[in-house]
Amino acid sequence: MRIDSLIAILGMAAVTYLTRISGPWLVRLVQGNQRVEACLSRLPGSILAALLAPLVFAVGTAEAVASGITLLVALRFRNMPLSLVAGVGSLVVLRHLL
Amino acid sequence: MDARLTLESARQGALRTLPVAFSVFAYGMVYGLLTRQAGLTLAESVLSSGLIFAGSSQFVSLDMWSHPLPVTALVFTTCVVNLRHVLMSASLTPWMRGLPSRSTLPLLFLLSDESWAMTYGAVSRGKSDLGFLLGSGLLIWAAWMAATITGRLAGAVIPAPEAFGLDFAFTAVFLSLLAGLWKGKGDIPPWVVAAVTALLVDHFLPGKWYIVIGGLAGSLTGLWGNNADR
Repeated sequence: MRIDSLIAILGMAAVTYLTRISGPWLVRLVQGNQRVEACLSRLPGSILAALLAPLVFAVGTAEAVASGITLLVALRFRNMPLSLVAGVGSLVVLRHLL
Repeated sequence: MDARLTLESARQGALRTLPVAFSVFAYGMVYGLLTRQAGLTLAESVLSSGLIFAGSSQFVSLDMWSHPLPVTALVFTTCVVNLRHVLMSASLTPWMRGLPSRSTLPLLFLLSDESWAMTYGAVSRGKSDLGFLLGSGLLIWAAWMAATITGRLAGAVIPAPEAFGLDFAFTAVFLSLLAGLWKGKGDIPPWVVAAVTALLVDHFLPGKWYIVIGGLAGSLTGLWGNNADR
């Protein structure tokens, strides 16, 4: 293993662990500040939406349509393996059609 | 509410997380498979799953995995993607009061999207104590590790993942994680703001800044008073 890989993995592990233990500490810090709490409550979904936007809208039509299908299946059945199969399956079909 | 940590709850946690562990295994296989595409060595995939143990950030890092590694950007992006853990551990605070930090600190390593969701559900209904996280988290960690190795080794048999649409698995995993966060119409403004900002930033800035800036922009809709009551 390369030394830069090891450093990257250890660094990523360390910051991830910090996010896991800092919640209780943060609660004491922002307790009562409803605006901060409201912003924090929107952070997880916002990060995922931001991460997804270029993957969904800036790749191609097949990817965009398959994303819609994945999202619908995920919302309806709340089942990750099923959503994966639906998304990947519909993409393969769409790539043949489009 | 009592702050307790019992083995009985740990047993319940493992048992009730079993179905979830299968789905974790499914996308852990995808991760293992994609690490080969991204050029990680077997040791690097195993170490990342074992020590980082945070799926979405591991998936994101694969996209940036080209030598020489952008170490700072990797660590920073990982931190941002995993900021949700701060909220999750924060939500468990009421059940931690009174527990010594020598037990809560190691325990919180096991916090993942799935183990948190299962644990939060169980303890907030008063059915279990924080021991639930121990059983649930350990099972998910084991599933994640086994899946990484399995996917990694199976990857040798699947030469061109694109042919099976497997390059889309990334997107599909994140879409179903997002769907899992859906709570109602109040989620539309932050998600739309985040997505639009991300598209703009992605157009003008290189790298993964669109995730950070888009995510922060979306969360700032929380300042918008009247729907701050989630």
